[in-house]
Amino acid sequence: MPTIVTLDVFSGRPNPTWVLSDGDAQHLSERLGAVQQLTTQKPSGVLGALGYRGFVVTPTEDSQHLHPKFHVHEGIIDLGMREPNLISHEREVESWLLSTARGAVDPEVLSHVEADIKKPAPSHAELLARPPHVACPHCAAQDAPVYNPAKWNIPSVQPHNNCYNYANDHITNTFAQPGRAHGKMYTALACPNVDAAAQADGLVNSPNFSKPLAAGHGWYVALVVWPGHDYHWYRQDKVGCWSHKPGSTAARNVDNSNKPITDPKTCNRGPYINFCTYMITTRHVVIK
Amino acid sequence: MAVEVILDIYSGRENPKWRLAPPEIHELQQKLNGIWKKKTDHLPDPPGLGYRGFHLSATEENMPKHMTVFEGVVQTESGNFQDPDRGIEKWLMQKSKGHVDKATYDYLVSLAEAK
Repeated sequence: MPTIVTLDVFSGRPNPTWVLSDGDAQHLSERLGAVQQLTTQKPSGVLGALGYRGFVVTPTEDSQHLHPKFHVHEGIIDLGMREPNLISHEREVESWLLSTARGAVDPEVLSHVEADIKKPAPSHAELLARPPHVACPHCAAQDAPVYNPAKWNIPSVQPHNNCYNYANDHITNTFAQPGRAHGKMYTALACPNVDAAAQADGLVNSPNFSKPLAAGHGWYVALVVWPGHDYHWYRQDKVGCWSHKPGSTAARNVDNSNKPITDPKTCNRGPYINFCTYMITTRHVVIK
Repeated sequence: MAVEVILDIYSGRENPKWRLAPPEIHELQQKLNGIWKKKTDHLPDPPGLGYRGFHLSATEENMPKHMTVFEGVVQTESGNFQDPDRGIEKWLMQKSKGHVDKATYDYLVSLAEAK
């Protein structure tokens, strides 16, 4: 049964759509299977720029071969929140999808898309270097980690490391708990308890998080609590904005409103309503 | 033959997980049989923090190996299906009693009542 392809390109007019034959759907599946490089970057087309923003592929019937629905743009195959994305620097998936559009898309629009696809996909370094859409605060910590979710959002790491691992930039594969490494795990899910447990691991309270930290003196993290239920940690990255890893889900640099995090004290934290404190962690902190 | 349920809700703590009892597996199977004809393109995005749904892993025949149930949609490897009135999701919330702490169960009940 058919697979629908939508070319996301127009603003006022409905986007062009067409149907892939079973053979073409199989061919697409094989092309997708050949793309092996993981990325956690999103294509810029999801932000809704004007002009070519990629293809959306929607299988309409049970398919043994295709992911339920995905978006392809800038070489990035966006598989949704639960999976790391794939990237193909040659953009061959987009080129091939465009080749199936003949007759369904105006020639001028085809030319516009062709010209865009001929550009190479942005390199990982370029994607990381893209300026955020808000002004990040100054990062005063020399040791602050670089935002690199690819290190965390892979099957061997993502499910086994939580927000505490991420904030401390330390993969233990133990779903680390504050205080556990030192026999002083928290006994209640409240700010003072989790704070004390983290201090047992070597973190230090620092309500004034803008104080400069020289090399070797760590970086800033922040503790918040969902009273009686859970705790959560953020970290300030080199770029100045903050990022986090909610439990076993993917690391990210946006809050519950999908906005960049300039300050965990004011961002959308869902039910984690209690902001506890900023703290400093270092490479010498031991967690388990 | 088993169905493991993970409640995806926490960040720092481990998510609660448990196995359905045989009568519950039968009940789930019957509920699933009622949704397979109602496919949907809608796939809700869970929030980063807070309740993110249930992940089910099954070794049962006639049941998908992996399912995610969230905001009225059952996501499987072969597509997404409507869960009318969030029936399966609310049923899983009820069945979490005894497998999650009281505060979490009360929170799930409040979610079920709110939506």
